[in-house]
Amino acid sequence: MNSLTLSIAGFRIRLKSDGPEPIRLEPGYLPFLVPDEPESSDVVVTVKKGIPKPFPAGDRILFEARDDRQNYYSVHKQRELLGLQVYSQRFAGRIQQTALLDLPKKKWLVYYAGDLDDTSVFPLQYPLGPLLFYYLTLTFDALLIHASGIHDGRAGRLFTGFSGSGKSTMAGLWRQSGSRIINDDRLIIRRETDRYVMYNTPMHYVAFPEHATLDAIHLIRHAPENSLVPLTGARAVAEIMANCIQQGYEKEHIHRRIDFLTGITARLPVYDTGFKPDPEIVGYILEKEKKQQEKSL
Amino acid sequence: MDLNEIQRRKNQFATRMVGNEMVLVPVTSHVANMTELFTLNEVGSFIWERIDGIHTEAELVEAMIREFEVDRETAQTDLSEFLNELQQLMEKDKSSVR
Repeated sequence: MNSLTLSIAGFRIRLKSDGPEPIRLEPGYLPFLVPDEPESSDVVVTVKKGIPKPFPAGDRILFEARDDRQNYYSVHKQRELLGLQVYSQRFAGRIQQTALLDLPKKKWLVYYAGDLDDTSVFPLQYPLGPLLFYYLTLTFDALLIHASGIHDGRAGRLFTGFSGSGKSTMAGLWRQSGSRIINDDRLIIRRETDRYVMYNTPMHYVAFPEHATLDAIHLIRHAPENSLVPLTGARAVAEIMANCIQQGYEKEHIHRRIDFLTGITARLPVYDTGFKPDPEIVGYILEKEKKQQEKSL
Repeated sequence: MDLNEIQRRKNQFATRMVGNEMVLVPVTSHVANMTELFTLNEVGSFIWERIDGIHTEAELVEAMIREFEVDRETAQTDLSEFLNELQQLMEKDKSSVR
C-alpha cells in the first residue's frame, strides 16, 4: 500500500509514500481510514524515507518545545515553507521526522528517519501526528482544543479546563447518564454553515470517529459546590483560548484563533462551571442552562 | 517602566478587540504557560491604543477625562493602576516572549 487517506474532522488527508515502502500507522489512526480517492483530498502528504539534513539552528527557529532534559520538536522558517523537526524520545538528539509544510498549497512533505531494517515508513509517529492536526486547523480555520465533548441526544457540550480540572471525570458522569462521548481529551472544532461541530481525532488508543453539534462550552474546575456562571466577551474568548493547542509564535495565527473564538462565543453560550465530581452535576447543568436560555429570550 | 518602554514592549503581544474589550496574548517562541491570557476592559483598551510613543501621561489623562467623562483624580488613578498592572504583566512575560 503506497497511499492511503484519512478523514480527520472531515478533512481528507492523503498520505503518499514516495518509495516502495508501505505506510505504517499507529492503531489509533486505523478507524479514520477512508477510501483512497486522490481527487477529493484536502491535504496531500508525501512521505519519504530518510532525513535529508537537519534544519539549521539559529534565528530561523520560530518555536521550540523542549525542557531541561530533551528536545521534543522545533518549528523552522524554511523560505516560504514551515519546517517541523521532531526528535526521538528514545535516542537523545536523534531526529525522528522532519516535515515541510506548504500551508497555502496544502502540500506537505514528511521525511521519516526509520531504522535500517525498517521496511515501512511511519510518517505520523507521535508526536508529529497531533502536530499536523494543529497545522490542519490553521490551514482550514478550525480549532484544536484540550477538552472533552459529549452529546446527550439533544445538545452537544464541550468541557475544557487545565490539566486536572476534571474533563474526563465530567465526560464519564455524562456517559453514566446516557450521553455519547465524542472524546475526553482532545477535540477539533469546525464551523459548518450555520453551526459548530466538534470532532474527535486519532488517539494513542483505538476509538472510532465521532462528531456532534456543539451547543455550549463549559470552562470547568473542581469546586466544593456546583456553580454555573455565564461568561461573555473578551473573557470568554481568552479563557477558552488558554485551553487551545497552539504555538503562539505568529501574530497572524493568534489573530485567527481569537477571531474564530469570537465567532463561537457570539453564537454559543459559555459558562464558568465549578463542579463536585458526582452525578448530580448533569442535572444541575441541564437545569441551569435551561434557566439561562429562558433568561436570554 | 516608562511609557516609551511599555510602547516598545507592546510588540510582544498579539491583540484583538472583542466588542469594546481587548484580548492580549503574548507572542512566544516556546511552549508557554497559557494559564493567564489577559483581557483589557474599555478603559484599558483605550489607554493601550494610545501608548504610542507620542502621547504623554498627562495627555492620556486628558483624553480619558474627555472620553469617559470622569474627573482628573479618577483618570489619574485609573491610568496609574493600569500602567502598574501592565508593567507587572510585561515583566512576567519578559523571559518568555520573543
